[in-house]
Amino acid sequence: MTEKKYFIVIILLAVLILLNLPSGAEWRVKAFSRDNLAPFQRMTSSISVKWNNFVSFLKNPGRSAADKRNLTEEVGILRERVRSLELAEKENKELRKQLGFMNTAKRRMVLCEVIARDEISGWWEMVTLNKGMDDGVENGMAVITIDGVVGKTIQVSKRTCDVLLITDPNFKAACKFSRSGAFGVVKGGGVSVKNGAAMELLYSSAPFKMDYISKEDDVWIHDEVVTSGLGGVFPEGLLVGYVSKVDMDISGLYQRAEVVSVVDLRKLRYVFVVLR
Amino acid sequence: MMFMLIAGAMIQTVIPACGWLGGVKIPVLLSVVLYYALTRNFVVTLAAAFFAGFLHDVLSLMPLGHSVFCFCAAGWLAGYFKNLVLTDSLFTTIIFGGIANSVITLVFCMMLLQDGAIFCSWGRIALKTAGSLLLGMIFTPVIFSLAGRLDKLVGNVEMEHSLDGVE
Repeated sequence: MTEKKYFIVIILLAVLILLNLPSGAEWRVKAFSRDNLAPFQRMTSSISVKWNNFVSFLKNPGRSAADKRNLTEEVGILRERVRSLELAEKENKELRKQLGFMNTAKRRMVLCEVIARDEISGWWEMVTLNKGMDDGVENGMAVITIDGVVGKTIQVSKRTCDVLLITDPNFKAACKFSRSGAFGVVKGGGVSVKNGAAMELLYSSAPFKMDYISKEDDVWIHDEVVTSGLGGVFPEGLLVGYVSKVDMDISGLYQRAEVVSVVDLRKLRYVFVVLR
Repeated sequence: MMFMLIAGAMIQTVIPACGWLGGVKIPVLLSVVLYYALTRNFVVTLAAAFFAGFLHDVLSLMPLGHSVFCFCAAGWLAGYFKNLVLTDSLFTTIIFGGIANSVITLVFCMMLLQDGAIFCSWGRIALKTAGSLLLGMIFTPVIFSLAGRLDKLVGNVEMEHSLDGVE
């Protein structure tokens, strides 16, 4: 009985200590645990990718059920091999394309792989990357693909970092319109309730909201929105999206616009962290 | 226990959230804590709740200790009430899962709003709470069943129950 009491007291003390840890110590505990959990995340992510590939293969078998019954085991093995080679070729092409982009871009960047999609609590929209402080990644760096802005780094540990996605309502970036040069602030639109019935539910995002656009500025539908470089996180000129709707704010002091993302977050696998 | 918790955390991370339920995740970790609360003694429940909360905090943007505190409280409450209910009943797991998940979602929401860590409208909070209630009611019995099978498979049930009376 006494041992039980001691154990309960120890647990309660541990809870109290965790709740009152200074932010530096708290982050060291978190970073250490996250680095050690990264292999599990990588393994789960790879299983998840394989499962998705399997499901998409089942959805498009390309042959009728009668034909499939007649396939021999040898043909099945060969097709599987061809399929895995095709996937490898596709991945190879994508990596070559990304590397070409990295070499031609003026900014210093690190190529990272997404090792965990989604977040455990459901309160934020983020992904985890396989690079961290050891590779020069710091907190608050821009994360992009060749298509445009993906988000910014948060919670960087030695070997991993989290990316707050551009769709998260907590995400904000100073942006401008390429055509007119008018400024505004883009904020994530969160998860769309209407389009939330798809399989990749988290990434059925609502359009971004661009606020504080001067009412004198001329904004058109399909105007290109890029980062302005004023916020300090994102370099100037990274593509964010295109305007889908413009209206006046309720206060009547400024205009606001809805911006549709150019990056398909559902297919996010490789991204670049823009180093300072 | 550690295997179940780490596997649960990974599964909870990977399974996508439902947009029309406010982006609520399937409560795998909380269900594992409730499973331990209803089937084991208080010490095991508290240990499971502590590690589940720790994993939840580490793998999310939650400040360290928030989930630990909530999960320990949920485990303690579930353990406190287990003598008043039929622990093997499907109805019990459905009710416990639904209520615990929705209450924890609300408490998390209050804590995170207080910290200024999230921006959330009242409509979204209501949607999330209703979503957690529904997901808790649906998935807690499933996770109870899987955890029970796993326990039987590895022989934990007989072993730990035989130690229950030992002081």
